[in-house]
Amino acid sequence: MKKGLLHELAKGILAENPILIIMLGLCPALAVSTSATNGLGMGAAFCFVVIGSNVVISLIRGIVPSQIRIPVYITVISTFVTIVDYALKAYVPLLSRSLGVFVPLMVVNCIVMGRAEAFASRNGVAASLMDGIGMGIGFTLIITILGGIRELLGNGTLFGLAVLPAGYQPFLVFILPPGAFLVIGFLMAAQKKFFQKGGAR
Amino acid sequence: MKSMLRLVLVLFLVCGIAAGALSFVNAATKDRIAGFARLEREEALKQVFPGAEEFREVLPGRQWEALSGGTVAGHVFAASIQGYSGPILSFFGLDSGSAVTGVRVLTHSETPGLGAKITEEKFLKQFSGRSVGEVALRRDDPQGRIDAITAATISSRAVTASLRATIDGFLKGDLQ
Repeated sequence: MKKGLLHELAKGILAENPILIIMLGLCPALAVSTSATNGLGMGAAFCFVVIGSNVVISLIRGIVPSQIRIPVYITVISTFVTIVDYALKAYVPLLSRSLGVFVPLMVVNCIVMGRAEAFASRNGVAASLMDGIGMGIGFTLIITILGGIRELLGNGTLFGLAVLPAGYQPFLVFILPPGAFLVIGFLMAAQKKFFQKGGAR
Repeated sequence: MKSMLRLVLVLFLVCGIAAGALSFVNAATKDRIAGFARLEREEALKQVFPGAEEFREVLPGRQWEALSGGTVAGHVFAASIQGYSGPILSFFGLDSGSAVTGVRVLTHSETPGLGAKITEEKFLKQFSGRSVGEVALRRDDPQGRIDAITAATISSRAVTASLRATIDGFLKGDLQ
């Protein structure tokens, strides 16, 4: 049982990483990752939502009739999303502004919905909690790396601090939408090459 | 019939609990959110009209009187316009000699790295001390004294035009 729980946690980080492997929730991941700070902030908000909704949905899975499970899940998820949205607005307003519409859009985020439907509705509370934490870490990790690379190449900064010499001419394209697709393509390739079982393809 | 009732009941219960939780969160964060918006606005007013100590709202959210030592030293206006990818809202001050005292962009959704540079001091400081006729892009108007940002002409033009239109409107007496 102990080993099982750890497996639920670890699988979200690499083996079933929500962005690189399951490839869900790419829309917010690509859109807000213009800087490392944005990536980390979006990741933290996502963690709260996916952990909270996984736990609650797994708790109530016994009493929710399957005909209305989708509206119930959406209500639960949107409640957590609204809490996060208000909390960001009240305590880190600048981050909230730069994430913009993508925080409320987490309501329809496919990973959150997908984990609710595919995992939390069929597993116990402890396993769902671990799954939520794992998925949250996996998402945060990738979106922060994505944001970091784009910020570094496209703006010469990392977490808002100038790290490259002043003479560096930024590749503007990395901050713009095409840059997101380029970087995520390379990240997926790297993941396949170095971490996939059975070696490179 | 009985299973139908159960569906209604469960959904009703879930929504009820969700609504309760949200009203609690709303009550806990409402003041902070409103407080921040107010603070930000006050800060913007001070930045665009550094010479004034006090601001009195003339038109809610659109025009303020800048008071210095009890007398009206000028006005602050809110100008909004459609930019390249969304509305741009900016505040600017106008002294009694109809010269711009300062500009600040509050909200916009321009492209990061290109149009988003309209919030930078390098662009905005060009407006300080300009008279009405000079508030135009150099490339559009021989009298203009504002240089557009490279690769962001539409955004630069939008900010400039919204200021110009608001000042013209004020001088013609459309505003108070």
